Amino acid sequence: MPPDDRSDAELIRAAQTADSAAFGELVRRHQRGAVRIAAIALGSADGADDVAQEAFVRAHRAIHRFRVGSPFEPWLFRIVTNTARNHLRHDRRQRGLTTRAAALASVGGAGPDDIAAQLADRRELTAAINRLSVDDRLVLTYRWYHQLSEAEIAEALGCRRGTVKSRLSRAMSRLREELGET
Amino acid sequence: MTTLEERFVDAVDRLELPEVDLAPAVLAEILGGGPRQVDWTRRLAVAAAVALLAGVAATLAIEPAREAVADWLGIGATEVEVDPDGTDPSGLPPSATFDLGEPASVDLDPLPPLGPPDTASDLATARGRRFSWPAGPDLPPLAGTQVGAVLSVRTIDGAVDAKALLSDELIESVVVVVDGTEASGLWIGAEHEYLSADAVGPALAQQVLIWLADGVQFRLEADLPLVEMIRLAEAVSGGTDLLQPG
Repeated sequence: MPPDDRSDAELIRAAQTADSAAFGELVRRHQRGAVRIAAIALGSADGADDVAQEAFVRAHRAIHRFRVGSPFEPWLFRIVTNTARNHLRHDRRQRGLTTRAAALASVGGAGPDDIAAQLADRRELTAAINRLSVDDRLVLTYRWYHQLSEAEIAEALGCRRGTVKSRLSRAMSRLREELGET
Repeated sequence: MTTLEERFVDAVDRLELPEVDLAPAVLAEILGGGPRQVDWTRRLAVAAAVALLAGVAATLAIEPAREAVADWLGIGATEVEVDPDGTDPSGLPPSATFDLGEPASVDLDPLPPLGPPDTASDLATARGRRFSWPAGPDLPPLAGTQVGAVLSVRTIDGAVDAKALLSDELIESVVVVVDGTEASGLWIGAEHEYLSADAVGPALAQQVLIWLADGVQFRLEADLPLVEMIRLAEAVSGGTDLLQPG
């Protein structure tokens, strides 16, 4: 299938007119981010694809309400996290995020001691992230990983824009505490 | 020196995630599915059961909703039920165009920032009125309608309205400052099932802000962010005069 070079706004506008192929392209374009946010919200990769899939279906039902021109991801992420929270209510399994085993190769070029130190640091950080609350993990991911603006984070979290800065600051403090860096 | 932000991004980037193409399954569900049936018999039973409790709730400070929401909560004459296994409301008719009372004259200007309403009606089951404004450049239409905003003003001693949500995550207790006094409010930032005591059958409501002032319940529905809804709520003028039949 040739790549669809339409913008998100064009795809959304088409999806609002019942163009399911356009919505399918939106899914393909944003599924990786949606699965990642689902995993962050669930605290586990297990089930993240199911949550993301359900979230896309919900997003499709509500696509007519989406304001074309607004960023798509914060809106989608809000649906993903709400879907994830619903799943968590029914699933109390022990959870935990893990990094890929292939991470070893990605620190190649460094010496064995450096590699060991970097992997240990990554494991330590991942463990600290696991100990954070869902809201803390999400706000840090939105700001640092997805580089969302305060307004976009407010949209994604469903909170007031004025509270984003304090939420971010508290989450950073708690992450540092978990890492023993205070 | 690697910053905490860079270390965090690196860790998140390397999270073990399922590698799947969701598009085929999503499209199959979209193209094959339809709205589920709504079990309103149970919703009505719940609404009747909490009618008295809803009145009590109006006199109490609302706890922070994210912590307090269990299966239901109430504010004023509105009962809110949260049921993750509930039904999807998206196939319901929009409440903004429901016939919710006797037409009344548009002789008031309850929400000056929006200008005079284009419709007004007297509520049948409680003393109060309902106003609506058309969508415009700064007021997006409520789904499936040309209506931009709906404001209902009612006493809390009549029949109870019911709302059903799939999740409590978009419910938030808020404070609305009315004439310099803080009023308890409840924000529901997601579309949901809405059963008005003044209408037959369930309807789809969107983002709603409900607040209580002087023993009167105000309900504002519009597709606007919370901060804009609060700004509008704090601009409502007329107070209890808005209850008078038109």
